[in-house]
Order: sequence, then C-alpha cells, then structure tokens
Amino acid sequence: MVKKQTKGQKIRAYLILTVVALLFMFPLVWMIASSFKNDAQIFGDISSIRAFWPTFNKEPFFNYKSVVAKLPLLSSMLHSILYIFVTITLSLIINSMAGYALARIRFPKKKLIMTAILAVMIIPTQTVMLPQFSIIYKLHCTNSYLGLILPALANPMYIYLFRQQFLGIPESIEEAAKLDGAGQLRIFFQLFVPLAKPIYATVTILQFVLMWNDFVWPVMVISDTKKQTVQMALSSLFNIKPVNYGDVMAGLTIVTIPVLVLFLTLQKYYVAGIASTGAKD
Amino acid sequence: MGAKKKGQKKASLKESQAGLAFVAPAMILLFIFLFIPFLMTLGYSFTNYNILKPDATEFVGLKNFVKLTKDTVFHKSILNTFLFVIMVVPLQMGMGLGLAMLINRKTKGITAYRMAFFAPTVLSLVVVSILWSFIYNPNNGLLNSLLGSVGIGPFKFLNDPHTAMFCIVVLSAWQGCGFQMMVFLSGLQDIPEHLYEAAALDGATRFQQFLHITIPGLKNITTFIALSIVVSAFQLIVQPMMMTGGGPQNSTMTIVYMIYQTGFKYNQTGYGSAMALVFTVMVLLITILQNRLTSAVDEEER
Amino acid sequence: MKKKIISIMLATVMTAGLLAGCGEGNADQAEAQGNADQAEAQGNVTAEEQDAEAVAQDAEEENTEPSAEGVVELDLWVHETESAEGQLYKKLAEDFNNEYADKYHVTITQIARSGDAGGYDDKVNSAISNGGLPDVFTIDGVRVGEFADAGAIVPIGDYFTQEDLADFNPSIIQQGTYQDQLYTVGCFDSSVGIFYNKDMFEEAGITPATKEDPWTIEELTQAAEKLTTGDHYGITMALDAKDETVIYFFLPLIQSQNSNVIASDGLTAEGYLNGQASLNLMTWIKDMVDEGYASATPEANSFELGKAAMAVNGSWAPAGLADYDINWGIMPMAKWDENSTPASACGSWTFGMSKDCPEEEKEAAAELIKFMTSTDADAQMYAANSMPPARQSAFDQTGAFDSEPLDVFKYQLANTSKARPVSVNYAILSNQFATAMQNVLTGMDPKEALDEAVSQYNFQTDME
Repeated sequence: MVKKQTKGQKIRAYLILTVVALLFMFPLVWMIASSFKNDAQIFGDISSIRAFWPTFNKEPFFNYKSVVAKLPLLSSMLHSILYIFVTITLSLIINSMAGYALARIRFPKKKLIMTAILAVMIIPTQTVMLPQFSIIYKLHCTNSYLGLILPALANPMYIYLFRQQFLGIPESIEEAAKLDGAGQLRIFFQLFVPLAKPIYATVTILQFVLMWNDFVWPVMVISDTKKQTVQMALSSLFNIKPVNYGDVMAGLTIVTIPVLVLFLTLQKYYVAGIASTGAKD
Repeated sequence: MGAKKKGQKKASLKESQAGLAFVAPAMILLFIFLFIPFLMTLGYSFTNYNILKPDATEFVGLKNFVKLTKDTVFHKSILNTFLFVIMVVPLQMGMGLGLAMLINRKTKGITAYRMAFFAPTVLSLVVVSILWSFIYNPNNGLLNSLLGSVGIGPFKFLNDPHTAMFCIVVLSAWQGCGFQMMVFLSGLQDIPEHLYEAAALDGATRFQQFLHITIPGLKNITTFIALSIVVSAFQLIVQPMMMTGGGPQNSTMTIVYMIYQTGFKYNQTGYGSAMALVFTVMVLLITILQNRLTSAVDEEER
Repeated sequence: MKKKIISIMLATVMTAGLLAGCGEGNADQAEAQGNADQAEAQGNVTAEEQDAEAVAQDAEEENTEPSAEGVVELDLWVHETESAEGQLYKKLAEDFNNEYADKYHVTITQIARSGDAGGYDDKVNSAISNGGLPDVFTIDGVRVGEFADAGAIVPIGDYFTQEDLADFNPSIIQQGTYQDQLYTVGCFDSSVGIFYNKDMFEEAGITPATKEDPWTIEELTQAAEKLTTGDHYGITMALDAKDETVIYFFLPLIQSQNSNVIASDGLTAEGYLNGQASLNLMTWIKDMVDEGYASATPEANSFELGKAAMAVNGSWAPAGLADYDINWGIMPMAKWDENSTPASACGSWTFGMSKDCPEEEKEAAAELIKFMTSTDADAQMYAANSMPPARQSAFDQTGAFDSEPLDVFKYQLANTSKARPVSVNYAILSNQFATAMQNVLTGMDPKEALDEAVSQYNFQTDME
C-alpha cells in the first residue's frame, strides 16, 4: 500500500481484482445479456458460457420496448425515488443524531436506551408486519407515501452504526469547540458530520437498496395503482404464466440503473477519505 | 478512552437536555413502529388469533408455547438457523473485509471494480435466488459443468439434504458481503495512512501491519458488522423460500420462514407469534451475551 | 453553515409535526389533518407534492362518480395490475359502469402480488382484521374453503339462475362450493395435459392418445421408456416444484384412483394423504426418476428445448411455446389404469362477495360478479391471457378450443376435470403434499414420507 509498487505487482493486483470482479459480476452480466434475448435463447444458453454473452436479434431492444409498453416503469421509478429520497434525508438526520448522542453526549438513562435499541434491532420485520400495518391504518396513513416513510425513518441498525463510527473519533476534535462554547448541534453538524461522510454514504446506499427492493410493505400500504412503487410495477412480470424471462431481464436491468448511478455518485466519498488523510498513490 | 473521561464528570443539565433531544425523534419512531408492534405480537402469542377470524380470538394461555415444545419441525428450524449463522458470519465477514482491502486503493479504474464487487448486493434477492437455482441445477447447472471439467462431482447441491444449507450459505455470503465491504471500506478510511508509513519504516511486513494497525483500527466497525451479520443471518427467509421451500427433508427450514408460513400462509397468527416471541428472546440472549463478550474484551484492552 | 443547520433543524421539527398530525388522527381525524397540513405548509416540498397529488386524486375520483341519486357504490379488489388480465379487469369495470350508469357504480382497486400471491393476500388478510374489506374481491380458487369457513365471504348461489349455473364448467362450481353453498365463480379456468414432441413420437413410432381415450399410467411409462435417449428424457413433470404446482399437477392421478388426499369432510388426512392411492402415485414417480425416464431436477424449459419428449404442463404453456422451434401437440392427462376414471386439473381465481358488503348492496354486488363472469367476459379473458373459459357458452363463442391441439382442454374441462379439495386446511395440506414429494425425490421411502406428511398435517391443524 505504501511502498511504490513495481510493474509486476501492479499487474498482479489487477489480475486478482479482475478475477474477483468476475466472480461477483456474473449475475449482473447474465441479466443484461439475457435482456437482449428471447426465452428460447436465454434457456438454450443457460448451461454454457454463452449465457453471459448477448445475442443481438434483428431488433436488439425488443424486450425493452415491450416491457416499457407494458409497465408504467418510469413513473413508478419516479415515485420510488421521491419517497425514498425523503425517507433517507430524514433517516440520516434522525439516526445519526441519535447515534451521536449515544456516543458522545452524557445524558441520563443512556445505557437503558442503548440496550433498548439493541433489543429492537433483532425483531424480524416479518413478525411485526401485521401489527405495524394496524398502526399505519389507525394513523390514517394508508394509501399515502407517509405510510411507507414513517416506519422506515428510525432504524436501530443505522443508529448503532453511527454510534460506533462517532465513538472512534478522537476527543481532541471537540475540545476546542467546547471551549468556544459551541452547542451540541453545532459541534455535531460542523465537526462530526463531515468526518463521518463515508458512513453517511454507506447508510444512504444500504437504505436505498433495501427500500428500492421492498415489495410486500408497499403493496399493503399503497392501493392506488397511480401511486405504485417500482417493485409493484415489476411484479406483474412474474405473475403471468408462462413467465417471459426476456421481459423480466429487461425490466430488471432498467430498475437496476438508478441503484448503480447512486452507487457511482456516492462512492467518491470513500476516495475523499483517503485523500484527506494525506494518502498518496 | 474518551468515554471513560466523560464518565467521571457529571452531565450538565444542558448537555442532558441536548442528549435527550438528539435521541428523542428516533426513540419515538422506534417506539411506535417497532416496540408497540412487538408488544402486540407478544399479546397475540397467548391467543388463538387466526388472521381470517379476528372476532373469534380467545385467550389460550400457554397453549401455543406447549405446542412449540412438541413441534419437531420448529426444533429443526432452530438448529438449521444456528447452523446457518455459525457458517455464514465468519465467511461473510472475511469476504467483506477481504474485498474492502482489495479495493481500498487509488489505482486506475478502481470505481469499476468497486461496482463489480457491489453488484450482487444491488440486485434483489429474488433475482439472485432464481439465477443461482439455475447455477446449482444438478443436470446442466454451470457449477457442475465447471467442477466436472476439473474432475470433481457431480453434486446434487440443493437437492441433497446434506449440502442444501451449505449451498445457501455460500450464496448468501456472496450476495450479502457487498454491504460489509462498504462498511469496512468506510472504516478503513479512518485509519490514518501515516500509521502504515511509520510501520513500514520500522520494517513491519504487510501481515504485521494488518494485524497491528488494520484490525485494531477497525475495532468499532467490526463490532457493528459482526452484530449486523448475525442479526440478518438469523432472519434468513428469502433464499430458502425461493430455492428450496425449506427442504429437502426440512434441511433448509429456518425460524423466520416458519413464522411467515404459520402466520401468513396458514393464518395461524397466534401460533406464529409464539414462535416469533421465542425467536426474539433467543436472539436477544445471544446479543446480550455477544455484547458482554465484546465489552469484556474492550475492558481488557483498556 | 448556520443556515444549513437551521434548515435541518426545521426539517426535524417538521417530521415531529407530521408524526403528531398522523398520531392525533386517532382521536380527531379532522384536526390531525389540519396539523399535518400545517406541518407540510411550512415547506416540506415533497410532502406538499404528495398532498397535492392526493387532492388531485380525490378530485378525479369525485369526477368519475355519477351525480345521479340512488346509485349504489361498490368497491372491487383484483389481484392483477398491469398484465393483460389486469387491464381487462379495469375495462370490464368501466363497461359495468357504463351499462348500469343509472343504478350501480364500481371503483376498482388493482393490487400487486408476487408469484405466490404474497402482497395481495397479505392486504386482504389485514383488511379482514382491520376493516376496509371491499364489497367484492378476487380469491384464488383454492382459498375459497378458508375464506368461507372464516365467514369472510358470503354465499352467492341464490343470485344465479339454475340455468346460468349449469353453463359454468362443473369444476368451477365444485371449486366455489363449501359445505353445499356456492361462494365464488370465476371468469376463466385452467387445465393440465401432456404436451408431446411430434417429431420424437414419430421417430419412436408412438401414437399419441386421443382426448377421449387417455393413456393409463402404464402406457405413459412405456412411452417414456421408449422416448428416453442419451439426448433427452422421456418426460418432464416439473418435479423441481415445491409449491402449489405439485398438488395441482398430480392430484388428478390420485382422483383417478377414486381417492383423494383428504376425506370428504375436508379435514381428515389420515388414510387419504397417506392412503394407497397417494402411495401408488409417489412410488410411480420415484420409479420414473430411478429409471431415468424423468428428472427430479429438470432443466428449465427442457421440453421447449427438445431435452424431453413429453411435458406435463398447463393451458398457459402454448403462449410460451411460440418462441421455440418444435413441433408439438397435447394429449389428455393420463388415468391410473384401465378400470379407473380419467381426472384432470382445473381451477382459477374467482370472485367472491365479502362479509362487509351491506345488505342493501348485495344485489348490486351480485350483478357485478355476474358481469365479471359473463360469457362475454370469459371470451375477452381468453383473448387477453389465452386461458380456457369457465363457461361452455364462452367456449362456443371463442371457437379456439374446437380444434387441435387446444380441444383437449375443452374436453377435459367439460368431462374429466376435478377441483382440488375445498378445505379450510388446504394450504397446510398442499404444502405437506409437496414436501412429501420432495422428500421422496431426495431419497426418503414413499410410505415414510407420506406418514410423516400426515403426522405434520395433524400436528399443525391440532387434529392429533
């Protein structure tokens, strides 16, 4: 990492990276390659390496055309992006503030609260889905994005993650600010938030992927097809027998794009960390 | 460390208020959307609540719990779940750390590699499960033809009670480790580069650097990662649901899958809630134990 | 920076405001709405947008509502959204509103589901617990027993004339009948046959069975033996299925032996699920796999790809076969032996009237169900998703089932189809049957697997 790498080392590093990358990439490649094939081609290729190579038919994008014509993919993607964006913005604030307080502020009953957070973390979502719905129903939040946003705001796992991150930041950072008489809010937002950028990026990605792929909860809360989320729109591809896998793959490829874009946008924060601590190539 | 110093001073009123205000929104939301629902589940577990017949709900005392003691499939599912957790946690953690270290560098094209490693994680588990069913197919799956070309196999993979759970472990670790990679990566960013430089000057090998700088530097984050994998591993459901239906011979039946099946497919919400309660208490005990252990280690290191 | 902090704080306060608004809704809905509005008005753009959208939504709904007095308002839930089937439900609802403009008006809600109906089912279930069940909703045929037993749906037989009921496929009535009362009817049906590769049959010198004279299991086995080569299996039977498909495909071979997997009381499995007929079936399947005529882990689409000479498959399959370059036909489902009666699979989603449908709206709800399951609706459904109609008159209207190869399905649905058991414990029964099959295919003794299934069934249904 530190020593200047020789050319041979560099090549070896790339070789390892590439092999590992292939091991992790292949479903994505399969999905994209298959999105250009009809079902006979997809299943004909399935047991050979051709599965990962697109076959271009006369009209290469026929699956994409058919799936866009069949499903309101774009509008449902927009709905999903909108409510997930609101959720994540609020969730980052709420969870990181709680994590910060648990790591750096002295206040009564802290231990009890920490234990409670660890305890609720292990409750499996499947077991509380029904009562959760009863609550959303009684709050009159059904058929509204509020019903999707509210339960997703506070997350014990993210609180815990933020807490661990803030625990690791040296005390010296805040001493000076405290002497200046800065309030906790200012210390938090001015000093700690910038230091935890990679964690904010991580939580954003985690939560986006989870919510983007969520299906059952949106179905229960949202009744109006005009408000449907991306997985709700996709689901009809799987329902009708025989399943047209060409359509499925094209649909999945389309809905994977926003996640990849988000990842690409946010991953620069990881590099920024290295740069700021003065690393070199 | 900092926490210890703080403990010696008494919290000022202003600081207490700030602390409570910081945790309040999260606490209120968690209380409404997780804790109350859990209390409701707790309540259901002492009734014969059938999701289709809410009006016929009656208090049945410990009947559900007595039934649980005789439920052989439930017992099997507990064993399976533990087996899964024990296998997947070290594997997934190791893979996450390995990947993070591989891509924690500033070489050309690293963005593309990062994305490649993260790819399985952005796909929904449903899709990944379908694809792996094809790969694991004993007749013409890719894996058997691959292994066959080096003279191993063929294996029955998901169709053999002895190997099915192991196949799910591999798939799950492969699919999930992208998340751990991201968290480890953000942890690696916090380790000051000059520590490595100093160690290198002292003649420390790569492995020594890893052991004495990387591992301690990741301590806080590792506690989180271990716990997060344990928690999500205990909740295994989608992979067996999509790929094996809990079989063959119940070898991949997990606790949460059973809870889901009993509560939602068989409408026996009361009985399913009893399972959920037992499950939660079990995992809670393990979490407390794990927490005790890790904090004991922390104490020692101080 | 200060500004940023203030704006973030504001956002947090607003979240609390939103929450409070939602929370007070319990006590005073109107006030809560006010609070929420206020909170949103403070500048949460997204929330505002949603609200605006919601308002626009309401306005739109109001616009479509007829102004005439005395129009009965109905709610309908269906399980399909964007598919051709879902589009048709929407169109049928519009047609209904036009036809009965001065009397009835239906608002249709289309709910997404995953492959095994998760999503839709969960929503219906929670509506039963929390209220909010619509007047009419669709139900998977196999769940009629559960819903009827729970009183979630009410009998509808009295709203149909005898003549009208006689037009439905017998198995549609069978599927919708629980304890001698008719609860549901559907607008399409399904059937399962044995698809065969004509070229491979010719090569092996095998004459396919005709629709009136299905093969016995022995004849099927002999054909499979002849058709098995190094290149392809004799038959593929979806033996990798672990779900509802298993009982749907194979129950007819038990029914053909004049037996079933459950007693006629719909409760007792002992002696049925592990009875001689079930044992015969499991043993036969095990033999087929052991001899190598069929695969326990078939490749996806092996019949379509020419890797199996025959395939047990449903009436939805022809639509997918168009992509492939094979010459195929359909034979009827096999019967057990010379002395047994042929039986075949059937069933579909159906329409039921909910318990929450008010007395004065029942007439209207029944009219809606009749409209959605009319001869016309059936014919349109065939055009949309190529499923066989649920009525004889609709078969006549489409004409598609009069000639080969689809005529097999028409014949089976009129003569040999038998519904799956209408039982309150159906879900458990079906799951145990599939589990037993998987256990046999992974090495368990058939008798042992079936006994285990019965003991699990008894345990889970508290029938020990």
